[in-house]
This record gives sequence, C-alpha cells and structure tokens, in this order.
Amino acid sequence: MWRLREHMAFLVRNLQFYSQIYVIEFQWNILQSHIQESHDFTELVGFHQEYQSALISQTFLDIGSGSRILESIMKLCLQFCWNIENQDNFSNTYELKHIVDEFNKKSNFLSTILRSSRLAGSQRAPFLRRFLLRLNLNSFFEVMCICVVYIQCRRTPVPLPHQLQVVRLGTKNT
Amino acid sequence: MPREIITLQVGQCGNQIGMEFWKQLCLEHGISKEGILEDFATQGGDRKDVFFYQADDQHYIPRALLIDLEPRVINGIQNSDYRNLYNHENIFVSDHGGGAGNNWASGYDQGQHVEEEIMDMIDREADGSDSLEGFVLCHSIAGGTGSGMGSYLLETLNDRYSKKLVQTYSVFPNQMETSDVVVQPYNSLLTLKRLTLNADCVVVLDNTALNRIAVERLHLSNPSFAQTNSLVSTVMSASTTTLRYPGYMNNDLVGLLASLIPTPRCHFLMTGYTPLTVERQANLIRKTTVLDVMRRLLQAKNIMVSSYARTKDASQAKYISILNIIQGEVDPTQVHESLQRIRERKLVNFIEWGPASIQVALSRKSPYVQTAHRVSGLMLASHTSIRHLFSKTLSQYEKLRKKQAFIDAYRKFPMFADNDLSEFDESRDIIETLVDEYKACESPDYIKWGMEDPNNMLTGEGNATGSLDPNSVA
Repeated sequence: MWRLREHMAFLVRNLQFYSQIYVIEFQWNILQSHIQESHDFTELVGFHQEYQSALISQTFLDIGSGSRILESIMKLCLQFCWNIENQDNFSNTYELKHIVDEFNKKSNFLSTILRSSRLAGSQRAPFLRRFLLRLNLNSFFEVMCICVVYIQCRRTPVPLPHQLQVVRLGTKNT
Repeated sequence: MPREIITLQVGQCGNQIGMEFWKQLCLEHGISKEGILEDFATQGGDRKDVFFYQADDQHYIPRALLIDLEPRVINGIQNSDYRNLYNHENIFVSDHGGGAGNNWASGYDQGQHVEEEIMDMIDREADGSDSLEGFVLCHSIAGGTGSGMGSYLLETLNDRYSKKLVQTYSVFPNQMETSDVVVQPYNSLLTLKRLTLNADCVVVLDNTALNRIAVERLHLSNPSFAQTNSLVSTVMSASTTTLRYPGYMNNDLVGLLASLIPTPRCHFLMTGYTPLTVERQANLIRKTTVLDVMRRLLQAKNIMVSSYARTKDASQAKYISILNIIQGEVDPTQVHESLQRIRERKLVNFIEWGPASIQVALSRKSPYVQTAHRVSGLMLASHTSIRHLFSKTLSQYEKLRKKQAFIDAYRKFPMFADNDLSEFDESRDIIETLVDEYKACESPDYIKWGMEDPNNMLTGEGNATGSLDPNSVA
C-alpha cells in the first residue's frame, strides 16, 4: 500500500513541478516581457493566444490519448485516497490490487506516449525531456517497463540474469 | 491558511539547539529580541505564524515549550537577551531540579509523573493554533532527559495527537571519544525504539559528524557544544524555509516529508549543508551556482552523519530519496542542468526498487539577513548507510549488557522493576529489524522483503511497527 502511494505521489509531484515551473511560469514570463515591450493591442492579442496555445500543448491537453491517460491516472489516485479514508482496515484487497494494476498499466502507457515520436518534433520537446529526466532519474521506470514486457511474455516475475544486459543497454540509450 | 508547528525542546541539548533556532528565526523575520517586529520588517510576505503566534500586544511569541528536569540551561535562556521572547507559561523545569542523572529510566519516569502538567501546556498551545500540523521535538538521544522524557513525550503525543505529524531533530552521541555518559548506549537504544515506532520523521544529527565538520570545515580546533549546536540550528532553520517563505510546493510539513519517506519504517533522514562558511572563505563562496550547491551537498564532507563516509560499505549504500532546499537567487530552469549533470556523472547511487529522484525546493531567503553567498543549500536525504549508526549503538549496547554494567541504575524504576529487562530486549529486537530493513533497501528485490508479512500492511497493523498513519499523509 505504501508503495502504491509513493508511486502516485512521485508522479503527481513531478507533474506538478513540470506544469508549474517549466510550463506556466516559463510561458508567463515570456508573456510578461511581451506585454512590457508591446505598443500594439492587436499584437498583444496574438502574444496572448500564443501563450494559451503553449500552455495547452505543453500540458498535453491537445492530445486526446495523453490527456485521457492523465485524467484516468488522477482518478485512480483519488480512488486510492477515498479507499484509505473510508476503509480503516482496507479489507478490500481485491480493489487495492485492481488499483495497483491499473495504475501500473496507465503510468507505463503514459511513459510510452511521452516518449513517442509524435511529441518529439514539436515545441514541447525541450521541456518534455526535462520532465522525463525527473521521472526517470534513477532509471526505475526503464527497468519497470522492461519487467512488464518480460512478465507479459513469460508470466514469471523473477528476472533472469540476461535481462540485466537489456537494462544496461536501455540505460546507455537514454 | 497557516499550518502551525509546535516545537518541544526537551533536555539541555534540546533547549540549547532550540534557543539557537529561535535566534535564527528572529533574525530572518525581523523580530527583535523582545519579540517585537522591527520597523524595517513590517511589509510582510513571510509566514511567521507557522512558528510564532501574535499576542494581543503585538508581540511575536515562539510556539515553543521549553522542558527540562534541571534548571541550568533554561535559567541561561531566562537570563539572556532573549528572556522576553518566550511565553513564561510554556517553560517547565521540574520542582526538584535534580535532572535525570543521564538515566533514560529516570527521565521516562519523571515524564510519567508530570504528564498532565506538560500535556496541559501542549493542549493550551494547540488550542491557540488555527490549523495545527504537527510537533517538532528537539532532543539528544544519549542523555537522561532528552532521551527518557523525550521518549515518553513521543509516546504520549502518539496517543493524544495521533493525527498530527511528529518530527524530531535527534542529536546522536559523539562516538569518536570517550563519552562522559557511559550509559549512552542504553539510553540511545531505548530512545531509538520510540523514534522508530512513534515518530513520523527523525532528522539525525550525529555529533561525530558535527564535530568533524566543525574541525575540518570551520577550522575550530576544539569545538564547543555551542558551536556544534549552531550547526544544528542552521539545519533546522534551512529545513523550514519552504514553510516560512511559501512557494508553489513543499509549503507544509506533510508535503515536505512525504517525498522523503517512501517506505514508512525508513523515516530516518540525514542532512548536508553548503556552504559552511568562515569569513576568509567568503570571496571564494560568492560565485556559488546551483550546480555547485547540489554537487557539494552530495559530498561526504558536507554530510552530518558519520556513517555515510564509511569506505567499506559505501559502494552498496544507496539513496532512497533526496530533497534539496536551495535558497537564494536561483533561476528555476538551472535546476534541470544540475540534475542532468548529476545523472550523467552518476554522482548518486539510487535504489532500484522504486522511483527515486532529487526533489528540489526553491526557497526565498530572508531579506534581512546578509550572507556572503548568493546561493546556499540544504540536503535532506534518506540513505541506507544510516543503519551503521544503529548497528554501532547495538554493538555498544551488547558490550554493556553482557557485563550487566550500570544496570542497577535502571532497575530502580518501575519499567525495569523485579529485574524485568524485557524493555531492553524488545528495543534491541526493533532496532535490529530496522537495520535489516535498511540493508534490504540496498537490494533490488526489497519489495519481496517488505511483503514477508503482507497482512500487516493490508490490515493496517503495519502502523504498529512505525508506519506512517496514512490519514496524516493522505
């Protein structure tokens, strides 16, 4: 249970930092400097629209799959909190297991989306790399992705020695 | 909305470091020694009310209880320049003033006897808070009052304020020289049990490392307790800056601690601070950048726990979590470059069984305190090498226990009456398990270790072994 809480908190915390510092504050500073320098209201409207577009694109609101996966992850977090607050003994282990499975599945899917080539070429790229760096600073999610794939193929949770080589290769490519 | 914190200073050491802490906070918030806001500090913007409350006459008064079983240190406070700062109703010195004789059992027993009086003081302070978040306890684990009475307070707070956070700043004894407290292993072991079971977060301040830092970094040939206590108060004030100068994140204690304690039992944190300045170093430090600070915080010489630097085990010790609190003129996007550099150079050895990261909190500095350096940083970290401190205490305890040395002093008190020493045995078992858990954290399959007793986790019985109360972090 504490492990799920920590994974959720980790993801939410880094998403919050990314959104607040690298998206909102950064774009807000740009808009502020435009406001200071501009003498043309029409031009200013254009800058404001750019600001709004940047916020939307850099927080993935314009990508259907991205925003849906984020929303479902947040709902799982709220569901987890609700269970903790309403069931003191957390007697429903089946529901907990369901939340764990769903969260792992969706966070891995999120990781896949964020790394996909559809995002790589856009203006999101530099900031997205920062978000991914924070999420993956100790390479845990790389290992987790590989383990998930491995489990799906072989249905055994115990990693074999040869898998470690795959992990190392993955690390080098980052 | 403020999230108030009540500070409990217990014993000589707790009151000494608490006194330095309040001095520092007064300087940072522009509060005079009388508790009056200075003229230059009236524009606000900081959150004094987390640690101070404002009395009717516009005094700012620390939300602090000063507790001791002997009068010397508290008398010193009451005769110092800051005597008018504190609420005199929040000061407790036992009537007999004889202290606890460096005996945990004596401190614990006296705590039991004066429980109602002290809890009345705490209740009154809590009633004066709009939205109390938790308690901070300052104490030493090796003496009699800070360890024994501190332990009793930890248990009592758990009973009476079970929904509130309890954080401790715990000073561990100096192990590099013969101690004047021969029974410190007994006291330390018994206290460690309460720190494990009844505290949400323990900031470990290791006198061995503090002395080393004072000698090697500050070039003090024979550091006094006041000088090492000053280091402690530097850590305490730095670790609370995000609470007092709120930004977007880490604005309250639970938010601060949640990221540092991913597994509830491993809630012992070590600290590092940079730059630790001496006047003649000022010019060198002035050019400090964010990357300098973050890199230096990872160097053994800046870390205030001695077990970190043990070369024999260093290769397998791992960070569970890191929080850097950076103060000063910092461009937030510089943090990214620093994280990238740290990762490229593999400066941090992280756990493998869960996501881990360096969380960075950017905090404003007090505009009223002049420093030679533009940027400074505090690191709070959970690191598996902390277990060596506990192992050292265990081995020292076993030596004394085998010889039954000085046990009679403990037998005089109810907990150990009729030659019942099971409290010692239970404490030893709990700390041994804690050491094993930190060791298991170094392994990639730690999760399997944690699942040895899955029913405890799922049924909530895990809380009995020191888990965080989920409701307090939800």
